[in-house]
Amino acid sequence: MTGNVNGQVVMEESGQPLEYASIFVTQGAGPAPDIAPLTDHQGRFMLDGLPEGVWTLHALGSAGETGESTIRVMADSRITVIIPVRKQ
Amino acid sequence: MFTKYESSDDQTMDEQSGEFPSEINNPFNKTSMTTASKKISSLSYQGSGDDSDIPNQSRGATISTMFSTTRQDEGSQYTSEESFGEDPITVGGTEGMVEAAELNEEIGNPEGQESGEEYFEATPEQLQAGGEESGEESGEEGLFDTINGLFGSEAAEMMEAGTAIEHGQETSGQEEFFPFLAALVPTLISSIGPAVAKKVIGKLSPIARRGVKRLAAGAIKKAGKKISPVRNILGTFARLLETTQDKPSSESGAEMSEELTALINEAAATMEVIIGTDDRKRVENTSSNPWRRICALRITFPSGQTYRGTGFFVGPRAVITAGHCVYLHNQGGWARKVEVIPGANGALQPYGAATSTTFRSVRGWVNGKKPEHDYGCVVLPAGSFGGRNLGKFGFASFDSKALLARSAILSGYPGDKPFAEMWGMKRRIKIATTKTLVYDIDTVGGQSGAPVYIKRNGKRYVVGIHNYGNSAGNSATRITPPVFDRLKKWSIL
Repeated sequence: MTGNVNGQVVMEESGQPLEYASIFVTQGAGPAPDIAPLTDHQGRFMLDGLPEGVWTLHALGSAGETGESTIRVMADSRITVIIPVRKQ
Repeated sequence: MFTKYESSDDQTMDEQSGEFPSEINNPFNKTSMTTASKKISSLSYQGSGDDSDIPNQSRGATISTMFSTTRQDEGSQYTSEESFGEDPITVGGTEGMVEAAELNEEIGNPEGQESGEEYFEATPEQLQAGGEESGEESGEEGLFDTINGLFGSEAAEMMEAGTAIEHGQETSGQEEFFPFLAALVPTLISSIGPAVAKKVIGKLSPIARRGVKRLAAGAIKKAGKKISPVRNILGTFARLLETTQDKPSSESGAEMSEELTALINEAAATMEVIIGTDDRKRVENTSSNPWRRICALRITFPSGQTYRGTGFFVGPRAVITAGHCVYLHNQGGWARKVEVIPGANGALQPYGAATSTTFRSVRGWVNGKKPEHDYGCVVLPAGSFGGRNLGKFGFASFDSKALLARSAILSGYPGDKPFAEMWGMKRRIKIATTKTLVYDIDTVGGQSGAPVYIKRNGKRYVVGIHNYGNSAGNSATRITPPVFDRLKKWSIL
């Protein structure tokens, strides 16, 4: 049973959305498609097909901004997450 | 150790000789093309309903005619427009009936499917045997004269990236992160003692525990030389791991303060990330073979969402990738477009880029959403990259015993690195099921579609199409005979 994630990457300090950030899993609850979403101009992304459980998603901006969030994915549902990032 | 194709060139593709050339930039003569066509026409793909080809514009009777050697209908069948995956998938004649029946049966009986599946897992001894020169490999093949010779340029390329040391020692990828460990773990060990290490070890996944053992073994071998504190710690962790594996810990969690528990969790998480998942090395010389045959993909779906992936050439116009790199069920189905960048090296695009709107996948993925059938093909426009032929990977279907514990290389474009940096790694295949391969080769999102290949008789053979990451082992769709047949047909598009 898998679920889906709608996310947004924002700058931690300003809250501004971050475009072209790459999203990847650093810890998960099972097999996940090894595809990396890229955020759009609103900082939004979608990641589908994650098995139910706890997942940590990491964001990497094109200028090296990084951040991560941990979420609980529920089967057959789509949850929302915001990943705040900061410049390194 | 080929399965049904052991003695037949029909079923093995040599990347150098190009037995199945395409008419596009074909360096070979028409005779070879005719031969290839005859071979293809003699093959059957009825027995693999889930591997039935599905183009991104499915039309009636497509399957029964799509491998016509004349390809007169290509334009109407395969030129993608703005409609993706909406048409019903139809097939012609009895082939379609057989395929449909098999597909229905498989979907309806997953338990039965699993019960009959082949499953081979390498023993720890096989996986940890003396590197590439195991008796099994050298005895069977007699191919590998030296460790360095096993993968030729790949081994050299991997080594060029840093201070990688084979067979259980630390690599540049981990060196990069050692400062983080150094800052975190020594304090715990020195001030609080082995009990903490036990707690940390207890929180690690199996893959990270194996990583600790492997790294510690390398550190211990360096006895007599100056050993860094971090490596000492790894040794400590390894010893603790071995001594406590069969013994329950005497310390109770209640004895640990919240602060200490948080530190333990942080240490475990850090080690999990560092040791459990990163042995990759950057490939710098991406314009050399075989790296230029690997492509960075930038994929846009009808939903507007964009993704990073990887693909590899099996023909002048055919870039094989994961099925979910061309068809994502929740993002509008077929990709709207895929940008293909062969041999990409950061901002450098040595051969330029091409954008495709023509894709292939198989019924098992598009209709069945089955991970084991999660593979597809990006069909490049004719004349892409200035008409330059960048070469292609060979691929083959080997039996499980020939794959198990065999060192394989996986290189691609991971999402935790700046866009279009190629990173790769070599490690043994640890599990071979009927339709998948499982390995501890480190991957990150963005490497879907990367080739998993071995070298045999001096030639590279892709044996899997990487598509899933998992802490218990990353995995690929295995090149089985039906997958082989599909790839061969795509390779001559």
